Amino acid sequence: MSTAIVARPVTQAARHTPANPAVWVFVLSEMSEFAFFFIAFLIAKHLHPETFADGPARLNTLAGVVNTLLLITSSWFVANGVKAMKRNHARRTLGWLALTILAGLLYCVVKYLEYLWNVEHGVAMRANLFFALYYYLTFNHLLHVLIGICVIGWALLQTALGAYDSRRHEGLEGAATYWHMIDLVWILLFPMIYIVG
Amino acid sequence: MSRFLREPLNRSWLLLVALTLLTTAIAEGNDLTPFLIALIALIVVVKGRLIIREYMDMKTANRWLYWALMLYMALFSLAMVVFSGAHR
Repeated sequence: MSTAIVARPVTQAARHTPANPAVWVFVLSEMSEFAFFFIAFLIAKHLHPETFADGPARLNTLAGVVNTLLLITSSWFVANGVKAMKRNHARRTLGWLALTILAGLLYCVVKYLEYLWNVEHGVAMRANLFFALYYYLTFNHLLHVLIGICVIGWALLQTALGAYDSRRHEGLEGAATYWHMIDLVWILLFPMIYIVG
Repeated sequence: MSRFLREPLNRSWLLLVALTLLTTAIAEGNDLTPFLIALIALIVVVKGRLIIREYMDMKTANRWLYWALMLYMALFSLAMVVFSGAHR
């Protein structure tokens, strides 16, 4: 009995969930939103298999791959930023967060170029159901990247103002968690749209 | 280089880049059979696990939250295989 009383606080102390419950409610809500989009995509694919089978071949796969690499790398940057803060290296955190924003902006540029390429190659939203869903899903994800850039920018500002240290950096963890969620969603979205269709 | 590889975050990043390129290579070089789609879905789960465990640092987090994220990745990867396999 006494062993259990002693062991419990140790176990709880060892468990650390990044950010706070409010951030997780927000992140899980966003993931639920994308879950509905994925379900809609899969149902539409089930109903119109021939339309979806030809879709990926007409998309710019290179743009999708470059954006995947950019998001993976930006997530690595922000994870390093949090790690640096845990070690009390605020200046290094600033650098990692600036790189995260840069990678996020590059993602937006690549997405813009991809949409331009689409226009030149006749990939229009009204062409068929696959392209309508492709635009809806990727543009929605782009909006989340833009929100993520603002969130990381806010964390960068707070870091510059000295609001965080190795013990208090919940806001930074919250911003990083949101950014990783964007990455997770893209990791599903990329093969679903660009590869398998 | 070995110092770079000693860091779990760096190893995860390299693995994620390699898995992304592998996915692209599978898609570019082949007609996608159900087996290859299942392989791509498996790669998605592995990538998701790396991000959740290493980048999000959920190794020691609330287990319910960790498994909810893993389930999300696994379910939609499985759905991708099921919905693709039915029409090939």
